[in-house]
Amino acid sequence: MTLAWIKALHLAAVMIWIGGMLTLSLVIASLSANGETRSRQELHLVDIVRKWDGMVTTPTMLLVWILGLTMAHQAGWFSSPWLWVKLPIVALLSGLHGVQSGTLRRIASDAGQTPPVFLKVSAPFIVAAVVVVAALAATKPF
Amino acid sequence: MVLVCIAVPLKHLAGYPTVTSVIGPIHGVTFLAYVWVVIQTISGGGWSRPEVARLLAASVVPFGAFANARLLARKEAALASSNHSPGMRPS
Repeated sequence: MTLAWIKALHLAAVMIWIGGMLTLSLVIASLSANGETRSRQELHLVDIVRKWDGMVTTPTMLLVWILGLTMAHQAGWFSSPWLWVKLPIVALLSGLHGVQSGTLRRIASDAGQTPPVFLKVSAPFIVAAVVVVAALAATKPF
Repeated sequence: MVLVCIAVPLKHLAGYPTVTSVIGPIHGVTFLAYVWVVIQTISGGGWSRPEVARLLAASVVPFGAFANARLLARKEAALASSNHSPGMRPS
């Protein structure tokens, strides 16, 4: 597969993954603060988002890593400092996605659970991280 | 196991590095996936700090996953029984 095709698929996968993460963020932020008063509609939404996360967002995140590392290997970017700034940010985003996914599973199995406060304000962090990652990948400043 | 038992000996003893160049990246991605699943599982609740440490240690010790098989089976059984208890919804 050519580098251009790998890059195209990587970018498509990133968009799907980040879209899924932002959806998780907004659903977690929109849940009632008091777990005991959570409505049936809220829990139905949690179930739908969890299904999408398991079937689309999480496999796409794995694809982002596979395509990204393949691209970096083929293009010889592992010796470039910008990539070593970008990788920890992507690792942090992946970890945040894991926490979001696990938290929704906990809420789905026990409706009384309350998500951690930092997850309720995670959307701005995701947006900021994506801006930095996109800038690093596009400009390769160092 | 394929990497440690077959690919690495083939590379260093038989001078045949092709297998490591195939299995190595697969091993790396599998490791990343394992760490992600550990983060997701811990965030799902019900794990003590020693259990988390054990899960993470198993990922860097060769054959560590086998040492954790009984712990994981026990947790799976506990999770299954808690999902059937009153007040809980199955995930």
